[in-house]
Amino acid sequence: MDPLSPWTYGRRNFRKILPAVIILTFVVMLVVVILSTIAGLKDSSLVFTREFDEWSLVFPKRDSRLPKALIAEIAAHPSVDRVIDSRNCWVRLRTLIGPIPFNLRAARREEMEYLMTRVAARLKEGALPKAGTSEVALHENLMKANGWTLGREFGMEVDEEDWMPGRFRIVGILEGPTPLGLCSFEYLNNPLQYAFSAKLWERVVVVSKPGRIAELNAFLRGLKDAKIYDKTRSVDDVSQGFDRILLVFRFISITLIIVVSLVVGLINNIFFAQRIDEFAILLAIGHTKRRLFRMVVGETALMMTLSWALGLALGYAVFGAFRGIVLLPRGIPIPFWHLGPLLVSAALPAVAQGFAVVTVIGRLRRLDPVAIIERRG
Amino acid sequence: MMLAARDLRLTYRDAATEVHAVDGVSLEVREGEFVGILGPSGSGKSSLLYLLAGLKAPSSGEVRFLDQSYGALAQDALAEFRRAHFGFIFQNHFLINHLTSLENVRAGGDGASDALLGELRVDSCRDKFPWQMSAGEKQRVSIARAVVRRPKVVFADEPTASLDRPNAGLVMECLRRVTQGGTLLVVTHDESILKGATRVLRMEAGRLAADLPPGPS
Repeated sequence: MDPLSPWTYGRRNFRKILPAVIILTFVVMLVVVILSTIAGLKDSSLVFTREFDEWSLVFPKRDSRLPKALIAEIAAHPSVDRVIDSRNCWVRLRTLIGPIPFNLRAARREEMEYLMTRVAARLKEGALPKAGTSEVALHENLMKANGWTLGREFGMEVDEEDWMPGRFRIVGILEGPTPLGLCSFEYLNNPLQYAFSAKLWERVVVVSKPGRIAELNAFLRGLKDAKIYDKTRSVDDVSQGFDRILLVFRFISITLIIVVSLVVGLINNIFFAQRIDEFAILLAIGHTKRRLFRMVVGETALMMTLSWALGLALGYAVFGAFRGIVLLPRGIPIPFWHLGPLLVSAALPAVAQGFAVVTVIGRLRRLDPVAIIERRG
Repeated sequence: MMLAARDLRLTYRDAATEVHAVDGVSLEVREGEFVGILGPSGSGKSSLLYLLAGLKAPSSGEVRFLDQSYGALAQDALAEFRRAHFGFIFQNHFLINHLTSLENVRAGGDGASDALLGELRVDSCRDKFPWQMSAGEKQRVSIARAVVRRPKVVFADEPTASLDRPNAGLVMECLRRVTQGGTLLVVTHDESILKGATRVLRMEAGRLAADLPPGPS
């Protein structure tokens, strides 16, 4: 093996390079854990917008009711599969960034089954809400997020801090890729049964024909007398909060990258200064500056790669544990792999390597072997 | 002529003073010669050696080796040229601390490293690191590193200055043995180590004061 190989240097000087390796490893780990969590949280919240891949909501603009002619116009559009009369109903959903409202679809029994078919949802446990009752069925992720079980009741009559007037009871748990909540249209629409029904604005769920949601949304956006809530708006609503958090954490990450790169570059420079005799003699006995430069770059690259690999392994181990123990049991289906944290963490060794290389080039260029040899005698 | 220097000058200047470390030296060295360069401290003998070896660029004048002028070579090309033709030994061994003796020799180039360590009687230090060896052993390993590529010329700058007399004798004996048939230039202030030298150059104040066959030692 070449005695001047980076591997030989790294193996024989492991204690010397250990502080820099530890610093880099822990910073890479931190970046992976923080960014994977934040980026994953956004993705896991975007899961709640999946239903809008199949349908959009239309609300009245000025009144509490949608004109019948308008509903007929919507129903007649070629991209529309079905228009479902619905009402407003939501649950308070606990998330890591605080409670957010999650809208249930008030529908008749046959329409509930149709909506479930469209989003590949199945009844996992219990039953679907009976017509004219305050029963609801919720997706399992919503149940986990709130820590609820079957039979749980919610609403202002149960907890005055709740946002939904009345009292509702969970009778069914749904499963499938798309979080969905269902309740009885007949109950919410009947002022004799549900005292707050007059205050609940009308809405229709406009379900597109398969694969024609974009066409449907384009058409709905052109309607003068109605407001539309579609995929774009729901994604915007979720993203706004997360994008601000991500912006802050990206700033923190970039600052961290610059500071740590400078520190590691500085440590690297100290190593170089400590080895100046070695470089002087190698230069004197005929090794070119280009070869010495390649040698130092190789050694630094080995250290950076090792730190990055260790940091990634540690980071994903910590994140995996956090995800498995804390997030998933709370109904936060955060994805494990995310490209962003990988790229940002890779920037750390890359910038540190760049900084180290630039400073070493300068030192090597100025290196006069005779001056060193004469000084050492 | 193997190695030739013409009107070599090396001048150090600062705002107030000008020092002529080497002042108009011309000389020629033939293949196989053992040349000693003697002189008091500050006489310019080491500077002359560095100029002849291409480790320093002269302020004026020219050095040629096998008809190649150093001045015509770029920095990296000159380093390759040194590596191809020259070996170096310094007062300090300058062994790399994290490499074993064998690896230090291999850092000097490919060659019969193992055999050389045996020839220099440091084969027992083969797998030792510099901090595990005596001063004499380290200097002999540095000789092995200098000659591993069988260079045409070996330049030695005070190779025994940091050794006691018995070790100095042993190191010089080893050096003579492994450079036999080759050209050897040794800078020293100790004339006794130049036993067997074909020429002795005396430096004074940067000038070549004498170029003589060795005197009795």
